[in-house]
Amino acid sequence: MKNVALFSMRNLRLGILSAGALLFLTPYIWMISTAAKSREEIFSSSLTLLPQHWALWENLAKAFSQVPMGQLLLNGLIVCALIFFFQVAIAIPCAYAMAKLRFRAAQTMMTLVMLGLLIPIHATALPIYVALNKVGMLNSYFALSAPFFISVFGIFLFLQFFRAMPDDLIAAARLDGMSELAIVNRVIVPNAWPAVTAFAIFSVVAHWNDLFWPLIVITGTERATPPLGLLFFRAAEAGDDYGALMAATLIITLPLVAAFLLAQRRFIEGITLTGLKG
Amino acid sequence: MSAFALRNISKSYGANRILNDVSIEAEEGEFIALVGPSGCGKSTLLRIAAGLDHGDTGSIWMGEREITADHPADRNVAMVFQSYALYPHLTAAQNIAVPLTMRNLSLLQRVPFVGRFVSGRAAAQAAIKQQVFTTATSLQIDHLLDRKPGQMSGGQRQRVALARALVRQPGVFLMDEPLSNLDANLRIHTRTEIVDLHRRAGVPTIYVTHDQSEALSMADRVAVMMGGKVLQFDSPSRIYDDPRHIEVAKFVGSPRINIINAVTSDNGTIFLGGKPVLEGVTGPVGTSVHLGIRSERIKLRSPSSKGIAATVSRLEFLGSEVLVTARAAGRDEGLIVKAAPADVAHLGAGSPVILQIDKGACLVFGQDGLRVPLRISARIAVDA
Amino acid sequence: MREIATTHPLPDNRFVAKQAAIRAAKREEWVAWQLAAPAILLIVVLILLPTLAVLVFSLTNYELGYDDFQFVGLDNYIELFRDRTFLISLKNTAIYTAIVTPFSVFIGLGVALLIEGEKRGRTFFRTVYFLPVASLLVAMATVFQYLLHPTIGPVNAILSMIGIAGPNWLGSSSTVLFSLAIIGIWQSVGFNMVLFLAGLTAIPRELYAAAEVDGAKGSWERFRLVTWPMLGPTTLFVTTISVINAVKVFETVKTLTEGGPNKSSEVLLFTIYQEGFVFLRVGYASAMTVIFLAFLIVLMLVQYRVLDRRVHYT
Repeated sequence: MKNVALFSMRNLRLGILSAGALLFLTPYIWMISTAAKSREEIFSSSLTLLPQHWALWENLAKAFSQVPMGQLLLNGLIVCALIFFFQVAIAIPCAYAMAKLRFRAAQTMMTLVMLGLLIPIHATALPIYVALNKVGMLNSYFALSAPFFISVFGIFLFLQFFRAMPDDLIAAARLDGMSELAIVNRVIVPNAWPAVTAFAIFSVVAHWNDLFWPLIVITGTERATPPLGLLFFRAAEAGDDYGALMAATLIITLPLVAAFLLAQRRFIEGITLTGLKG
Repeated sequence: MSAFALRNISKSYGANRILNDVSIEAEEGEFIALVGPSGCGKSTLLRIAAGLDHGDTGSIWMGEREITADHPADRNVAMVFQSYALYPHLTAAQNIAVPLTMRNLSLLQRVPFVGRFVSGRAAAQAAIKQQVFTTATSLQIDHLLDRKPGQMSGGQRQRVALARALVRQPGVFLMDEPLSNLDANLRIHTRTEIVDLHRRAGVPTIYVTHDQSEALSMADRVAVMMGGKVLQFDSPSRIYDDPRHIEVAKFVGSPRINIINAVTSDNGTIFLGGKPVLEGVTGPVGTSVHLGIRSERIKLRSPSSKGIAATVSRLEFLGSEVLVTARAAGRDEGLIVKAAPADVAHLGAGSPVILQIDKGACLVFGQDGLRVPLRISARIAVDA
Repeated sequence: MREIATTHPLPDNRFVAKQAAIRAAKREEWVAWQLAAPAILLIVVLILLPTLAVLVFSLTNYELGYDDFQFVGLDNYIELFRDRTFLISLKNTAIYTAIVTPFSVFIGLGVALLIEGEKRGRTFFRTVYFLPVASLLVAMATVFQYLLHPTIGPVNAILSMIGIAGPNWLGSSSTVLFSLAIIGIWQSVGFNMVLFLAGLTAIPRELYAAAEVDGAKGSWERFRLVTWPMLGPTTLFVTTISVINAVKVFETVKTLTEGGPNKSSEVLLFTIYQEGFVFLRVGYASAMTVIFLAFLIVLMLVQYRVLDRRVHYT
C-alpha cells in the first residue's frame, strides 16, 4: 500500500517538474522554430513547430546583413573582458590588504564596501553620464566599461575568501623572501581560482546582459553591445519580421547559453556562491 | 657567543603581557625545545624570532650579527609551520624551490616567460633543481616531487615542509609544533627523524611544542614557558629531576607529579599519614609547603612492611605498568604510584598497602611555587 | 641569563626592538595603502562622488546642454509628487513587484524542493530552470513578444483552440503589467531556485531523522518542522533580492512597451531613463533617482532588522 503511494507520489513530482520544465523551455523551442520558418509560415501556422520548408539560412542571412552581428558579439566580448580584468586587478589587492595586513583603514573600507553594495549603477548613472559627456568620452569602450572597474561586490567576495586562507601560508611566503605584491601574485591569486571563477561568471552574466548603461552611453551600432544591437535591430525592422528577429536573438543568446550548458555546474555554483554572499 | 639568541624579549598587547623578559639562546648545533601550555607565549616568541612579529623590547642575534630589525626574508631563518603552510598550487619540487628562487634569481629572472631570456637564469635554475633533488632525497621524498600538497598524506606534506626549510641552509631552524597534525604513531616515528635530521644538518633549532614528552625526548635543552616567562631553561634531565618551580614539576612527566600539601614541623619535618616523610626543610616551623614526589619514586609494599599505611582506591592498567591510586590514612588526596603489573595483580580497590617514599626524590616547593632548599645536614629519616 | 642581560645594555635593545616593531607596522600599513589605493580611488570617484552629485543635482534645475543652473531647493521633489507620470510609475512598479516577488520566490522554492526530493534528472531540471538566468533578457523578451502576439502568437492560438479569445497581452493597458510580470517571473525563478537549493543542502540530515523520530510522519509535517524554519535566512534573503530586482525592472519595458500603452507600463527606472537621458532633465531625474535609492536603502534596512530580530537560529 505504502509502496504504491510512494511510487505515485514520485511520479507526481516528476510530472510537475517535467511540465514546468517544458513551460520554461517553450520560449527557446519557439525561438528556434520561428527562426527556421519563412515569413508566410509564421503568419499562417503559429502552432506547428517544424517548418514546412526551412528558411533558417535566409533568416540568418537577413539578420547578419542588417546588423553587424560579429561586431556586436566582439563588442560584448571586449567590454566584458575589460570590465572583468580591471575588477579583479583592483579588487584582489584591496581585499588582500583588508583581510591579511595590519591595515587601520580596513574598518572604514568595510563600511565603504557595504555602502557601495547598496548603490546600483542606476543611481550613479546620471553624474557619470554627465562627466563622460563633458570629457567627450561617450560612445567608446571606455564609457561602456569604466564605470564598472570597481566592484565592491568583488572586494566583498574576495575578502570572505581570503579570510579563510591560512595566515601561515602568508607568513611562509614572507620568510621565503616574497614581497607583498609577490605574495598576491604568486600565492593569493593562484589559490583564489574558485572565487575568481565564481566572480567571473557573475560579472560576465551581469554585463553581457546589461541594457541600461549601454543604452545611455552608446548611440550607434559601432560600439553597441549585444542587447543594444538587438534593440536597434528591432527598431529598424519595425518588429514584424519575426523570422529574422528570432534568428538574431538565437545568435545573440547562443554564446552565453552555450557557455552555461558546457559548464553548467560551475555556473550554478558560481551564481550560488556570489548570490549567497551578496 | 651563541649561534642564535633571543635576549630580554618582552611583548604586550595592551595591558596583556604576552612575553616578559624572555631570553633563550642556542649554541652551534643545539636543539632547543620551547614547551608550555597553550597561550604561554611560545609561538609568539617563535614568530618574533622569525621576524613575523616584533617584540616591544629585547634583541635577536644570529651569532655576532644583530637581526632584531631585519626583514624576515633577510634573517636567513627557516620555519616549519604547524599547518605546514605549503603552497597548494605548487608541486613539492616547486614548493621546496621557492626560497631558493626568491633568493638566487633576480627580479627580472623571476618574471614568467620573459625571465626565460634573461642571462644566467638557466644555470641558476639548474643549480636550484639540483639542490631541491638532494634535499628531497635526504628526506626520502624524491618520488613525491611532482605531486601537489593535496595529493599527499599528512606525513608526506610534513616532510616537504621540512625540505623547504632545509634547502636554504638557514642560520637557525624554527619549528612551530610541526608534529601536532600527525597521528600518534607517525608522531613518535617522526620525532627521531627530526632529531637525526638536526644532527646531520648541524643547524641550531628552536622547536616549539606543547607536548612535554616531545620536548624532553628531542631537545638538548628545554625552556619551560608559562604566562610569558621562562620558568626554567635546562637539560631535560634537570627539568625532570630538579625543577626550579612547582609549575615546571607539574608540567613535565606523566602521570603528573604527586603534590602533597603539608606543614613543616620541628626540624623541618613533613609528616604523611602520621609518619615523617622528609626532614630538613628550611624555613620557620609551621610553613605551608608543597611536597612533590613522582609516581615511580613511591614503592608499594605489603601491609606488614614499614612505611605509610594507605588504601588502594583505584587501579589503572596501562599495559607495561599499572597506575595505583592510594590514599594515606587521614588524607583526602590520592597518591599515584607506578607499579609493575605482576606486583599489583593481587590488589583491588580497598586493599590495604604500605607506601615507601624515596626521600632523595622529594621536591619541596614554597607557597610562591619556588623550590625550598633542604638543609645539607638533613639526614634521610629512618622509616618508623 | 642574567649575565647576558648585563652584557647587552637594556635601554639600547629596547630602542632597537621598538623601532623595528614600529617600522614593520608602518611598512605593512604603507603596503596595505598601496594595494588598496586603486580600489579606494575608484570607490570615491565612481560611487561616492556620483551619489553625492545626484543628491546635489536633485536640488537644481540642471539640464544637459544648458551650462548654468540654479539651486531650486526641494522644488523637484514637490514637482515629483504632482507629476502624474511619476505617480503612475511608482504605482506600476509597486504592482509589478507585488506580482513578481511572491511568485518567483514560491515557485523557486517549490522547484528547489521538488528537485531536492527527486533523484532522477536532477541536473537536467536544474539546468532547464536556470537557463533563463543565463539568457540575454532583451533577446528572450523579443521571443515572449512573439509568443504573446495577439494575432500570430502561439499563446493566443492555443487559447482560441479551446474557445477563448486571447487578450492583447502586451498591447492592452489592463494586461501589460501582468504580461511583463510573467516574463519577470520566468526569468528569476531559476536564480531563486539555486539559492534555495544551496539553503536546502545546508540543512543537516540529522534534523530530518530527528523530526521523524519525534513523530513528524508526513513530508508536510517535516517541511513545517524542519525545512521552512531552517530556510528562514535564505527565504528572507531571496525575498529581498527579488524585491530589489523587481523594483529595478527596465529591460523588458524598454524592449517591449516603452512604458505604453498610455503609460500603463511606465516603471521607475524607465521614467528616470526618459527624464534623464532622453529629455536630459538631469536635476529632475536626479530627484527621482534619490527616491529610488531611498527605496533600496529602506529595503536593505528592513532586511537587516528582520534578520536581527527573527532569524537567529543559524
